[in-house]
Amino acid sequence: MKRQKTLFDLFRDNAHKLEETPSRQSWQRLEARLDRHRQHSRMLSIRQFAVAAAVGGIVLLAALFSMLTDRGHAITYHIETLDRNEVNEEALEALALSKRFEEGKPASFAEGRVGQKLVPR
Amino acid sequence: MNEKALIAACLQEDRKAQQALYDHFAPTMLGVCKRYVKAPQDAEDVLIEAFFKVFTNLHQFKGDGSFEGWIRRIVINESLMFLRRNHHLLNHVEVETAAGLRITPSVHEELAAGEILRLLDQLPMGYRTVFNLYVLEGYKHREIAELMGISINTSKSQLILAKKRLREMLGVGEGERERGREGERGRLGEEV
Repeated sequence: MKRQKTLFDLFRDNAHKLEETPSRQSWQRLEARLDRHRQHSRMLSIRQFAVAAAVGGIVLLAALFSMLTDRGHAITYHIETLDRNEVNEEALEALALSKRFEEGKPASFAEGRVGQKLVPR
Repeated sequence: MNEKALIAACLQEDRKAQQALYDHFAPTMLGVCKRYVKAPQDAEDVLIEAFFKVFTNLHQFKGDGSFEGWIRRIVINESLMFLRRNHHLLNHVEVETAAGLRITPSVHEELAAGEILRLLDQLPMGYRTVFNLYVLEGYKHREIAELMGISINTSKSQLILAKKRLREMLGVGEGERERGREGERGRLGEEV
């Protein structure tokens, strides 16, 4: 026996009638949207590459700077022995004297005689 | 070009393949949109947005199920998002009285496209959406509740009210209604 059609069947059986070809502009609008998306994706890729390159460059520069700075420190801490012939003797003695004063250990000096005065060397 | 080849070409962003795929599925999917979204222009906007998502997420289609089913899910989701964006789904608990409009099916047990749309248009958005999802897409009430953010009971009551409203609009009399119930009882008794 044929089954009575229900309300639901009525809609299910006829829903396909709502199918309709979209307007001509619809594909053009979709295509334009897809083109914009493609351009945006490319721009994003280029930007990501540029950012990665910039970060890489900064890291490289930092590493280079760090290497140079380390070498500078080595020069700072490197002690060279001066050639005594090239150095002014008086300046060296004055330096030694000022050092001793700074350390609170004044240099011992001999007691003078009458007619003499104390002059820092 | 078969479906697999078409999908592969679309993955390579081949515009001609994309257009061929669009031309093939767009009429069916526009029919789906029109059932959810009232204004024809809005339905086409939803269609375009849905196909944009189809093309930009095509890599996610694993080929396990039907490709048309995959597209249809995207179209339905996009339609629901449109309704949500425009706050139509907020009015899902509507207690309007039956509309005065009555439609007599043009031929016995036949409904023309215009009649279907006019009937659906007369339903409050909540009834219409639940009716579409349940009757025409085959979703369960649990799934509808999740999709629409409503309770399962609300989904069930919306369907019952939609059915009642449609019966009134179709001018189904008490006798016919009883006969309809007899026919529906086996299936709908458990479903609704």
